[in-house]
Amino acid sequence: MNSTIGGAEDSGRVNRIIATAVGYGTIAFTLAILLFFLVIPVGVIVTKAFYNGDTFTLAYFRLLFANDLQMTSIWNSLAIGIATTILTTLLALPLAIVNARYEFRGKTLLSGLLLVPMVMPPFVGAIGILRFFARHGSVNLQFMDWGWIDRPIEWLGEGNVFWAVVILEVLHLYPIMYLNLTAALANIDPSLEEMANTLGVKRWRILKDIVWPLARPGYFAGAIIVFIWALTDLGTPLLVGYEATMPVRIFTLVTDVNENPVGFALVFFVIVLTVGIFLGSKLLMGGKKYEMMARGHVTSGIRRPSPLGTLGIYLLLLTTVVIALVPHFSVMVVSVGDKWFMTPMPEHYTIKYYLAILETELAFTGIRNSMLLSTASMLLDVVLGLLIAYVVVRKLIPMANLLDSLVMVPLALPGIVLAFGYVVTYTGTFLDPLDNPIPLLIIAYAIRRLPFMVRSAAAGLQQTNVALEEASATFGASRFYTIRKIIMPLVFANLVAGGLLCFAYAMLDVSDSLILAMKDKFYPMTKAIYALFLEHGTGEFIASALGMIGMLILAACILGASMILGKKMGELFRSG
Amino acid sequence: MRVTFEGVTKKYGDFTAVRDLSLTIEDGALHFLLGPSGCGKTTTLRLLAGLETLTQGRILFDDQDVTKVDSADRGIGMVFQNYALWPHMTVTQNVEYGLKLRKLSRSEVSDRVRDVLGYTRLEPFATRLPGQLSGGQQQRVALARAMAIRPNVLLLDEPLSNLDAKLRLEMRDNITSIHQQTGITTVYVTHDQKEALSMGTAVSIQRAGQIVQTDSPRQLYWKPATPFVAGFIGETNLIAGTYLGDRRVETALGEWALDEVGEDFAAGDAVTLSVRPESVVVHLDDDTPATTSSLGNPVNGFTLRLKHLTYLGDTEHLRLGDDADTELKASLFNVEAHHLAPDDIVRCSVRPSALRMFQPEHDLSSGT
Repeated sequence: MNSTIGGAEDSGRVNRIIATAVGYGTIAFTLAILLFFLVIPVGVIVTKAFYNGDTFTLAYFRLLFANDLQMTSIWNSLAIGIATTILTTLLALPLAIVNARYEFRGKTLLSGLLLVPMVMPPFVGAIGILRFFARHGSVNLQFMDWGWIDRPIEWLGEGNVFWAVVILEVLHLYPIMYLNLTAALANIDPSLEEMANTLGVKRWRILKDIVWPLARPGYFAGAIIVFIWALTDLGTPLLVGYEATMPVRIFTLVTDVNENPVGFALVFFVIVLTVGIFLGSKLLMGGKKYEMMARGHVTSGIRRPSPLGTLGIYLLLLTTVVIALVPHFSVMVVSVGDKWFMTPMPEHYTIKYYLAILETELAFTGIRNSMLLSTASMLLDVVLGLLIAYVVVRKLIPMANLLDSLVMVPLALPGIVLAFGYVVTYTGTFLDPLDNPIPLLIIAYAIRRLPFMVRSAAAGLQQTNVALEEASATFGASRFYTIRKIIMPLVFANLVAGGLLCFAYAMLDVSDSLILAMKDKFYPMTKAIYALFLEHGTGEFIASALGMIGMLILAACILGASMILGKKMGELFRSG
Repeated sequence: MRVTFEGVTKKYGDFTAVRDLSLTIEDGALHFLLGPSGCGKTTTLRLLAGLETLTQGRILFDDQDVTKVDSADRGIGMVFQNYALWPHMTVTQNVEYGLKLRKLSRSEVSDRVRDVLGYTRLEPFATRLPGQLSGGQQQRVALARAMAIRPNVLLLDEPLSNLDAKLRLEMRDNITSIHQQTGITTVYVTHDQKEALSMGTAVSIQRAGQIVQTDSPRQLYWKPATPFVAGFIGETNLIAGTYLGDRRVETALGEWALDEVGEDFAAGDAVTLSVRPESVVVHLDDDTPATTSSLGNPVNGFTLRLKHLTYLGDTEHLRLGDDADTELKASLFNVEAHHLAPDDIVRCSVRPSALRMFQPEHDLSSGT
């Protein structure tokens, strides 16, 4: 026998102790981050909403509910959320059915194209849309050229601005719904439907009695995300100039929150609303997740459409893609348009605004800042996400599910609320965003995207048999050696995909960037775009060019993630 | 390395998986833990491996208490039921993983890898990934990986359950010969009694978290300690009866004579008799005399109706008797032809030495 008890040498044991200490230190660090940058800021908001100094008061809420503008904006934002959710469902459902059930030439390419709209925050698209649909915008001018109309149509007039925001949101968010529905439908064993078919059940009854109940949890999980994102998106209403919405109100109130504490009441109200809806939907749907029995042939549910059907599918997909890309197209036209005045399309095209990015301080530093901040937050996400997923999946600490729920909170918590919380919590401390918002921006970006990373890593870990780790442990490997040598390589694809998404969404971030970055030199790309847009002269064009650059970077990231994860990508964008 | 369990208990919440278990595994043994699924045998193995912590009791390696020693420091090699091969590492990388953790020199590592791949006949596959191997080859990689570190104790958790019948036979010989070559103390968990009987130097029968009996395979078969063991190892007839004293038992079938009985029985006790079907001699030829007792009276001889007959080629299974109380299972071997048909009256007898007598068990199922 060569092994003594304590087979690994003593130096190995010391290493193990160090590694274990480092490991638990990291977990403690993770919990501290969640405490300081999730729990405490929310706690501060709640406290300040109810306390005037040391006295408990409900006065702020009375003020809030008595204020017509605030109340109108709450209703408007709820309406935006509901309308967006309904419309994305109607748009995404046929797409998901086609993707989950039919096989046709060019499917991979077209399914990929459907995701492209995700690559631009809707508020950037708003720049192009404003240009196209303005009173003297391209659309009106073109229609008058053709003699279809005599006077310009007020596309973005008082009554239409609501729909402008909704449409921009829908065009941006439908891919999330589509991914979710595809995942939900693809997860249904085709033999369940075939069974119903053999019993002679009619098509619509199969949908109603079998498909819908099984797809419902997946649908609601995605719908909640869409609803909350649309409800709390700041950039689009801000750019379109829709003042009477909740996020724009909060954005305005954050600057003078010390004089006007109604902001706390409003933000608290938003927290209750979103978290309530989130938990409510989880409670309603939570108990109804069905375990699929063993699947038969995965391919058996996939059909080839008839030639006419194929044509229909192409039409459906292409129309959707074309419409969804109108904002992107319009931004692109604005970015390359030259001497564009009172004509439907620019008379000349130029790349000078792209070159101008290099010379414009704001634009250039914006790209640089965003790349750095997004990279840093992505790395933080990968490390924290893997650790948290590992702790949760392997149930290493008591109440691991509580940690899981805590990490998922940012899905329900609007970015604008979190940013608001950071400002009120850390103003006047060494983390004061007015002095240097970089640490808070990195953490805010990271925490908001942590759920995606945790989901992605957990999905990989759940497919990794625990015996693989136990085998490593019996040979004398510490847990963290095992994570490095065994777990990391096995979930690498999940980490890359999750990391790409975290990076992409950090680049797209609007609310944290707009609220936390207060000085020019710290502006991330999105805030630079906003600031440039507000400038007179060529600002709008440079902003568009900047938007295009960002779009290309993000397109590459999302395409990469989608190629790595395939259909599983849909499972990242859901609430439960 | 001798392994000793002393009063070991393992609870998961309210559920007790292992209950006050004491057991000694001798140095160099190929020791089997055999029992129905859910009996706690895998938990016992995992406690030994240090993958689970004990609720009570201690575990000793020779004389050293390892109860609190980390799995990593026990120097065990384990073969998991699903092999747990790391899919991203080649056969060689899988095997050398444990060696590298031991900080052996590079030449020592490659020597040991070559050695172990040699006797598991895996050299041709050294650079393959586990996914490119057949089930039997994967099983050998798992074994090679565990053996490479020259463990104090080798633990096998149902290592053959994922293989087809033919491969299983081959791997049995393989494991036995590797055990004989290396002499490593090996603990082997299985629910397959044929594996245990054919390979084991010692077999422990486990039931509901406790060891019922530990013995050599031959002892277990012929001298089962309880009706459960008798029923679990091989086939048996369990017959309820009353002890008459003087090594005689009254049952619904008639009166039985035994060669020996334990000392704890008194006349009038309710008892259970066990008799193996192959010990029931069926008299195909009417002239054969029934076995006679020392008193000269015909005992252990019965005349019963043939209820059912199953032909299996090398054996035939007969069910004799009229109802559940009097049913007796019998086996015929190597009989080319006979005249028996259902409803025939058959004469049969049993050697007194083939009978075992127990205290009756309330639950005669293989309960878990």
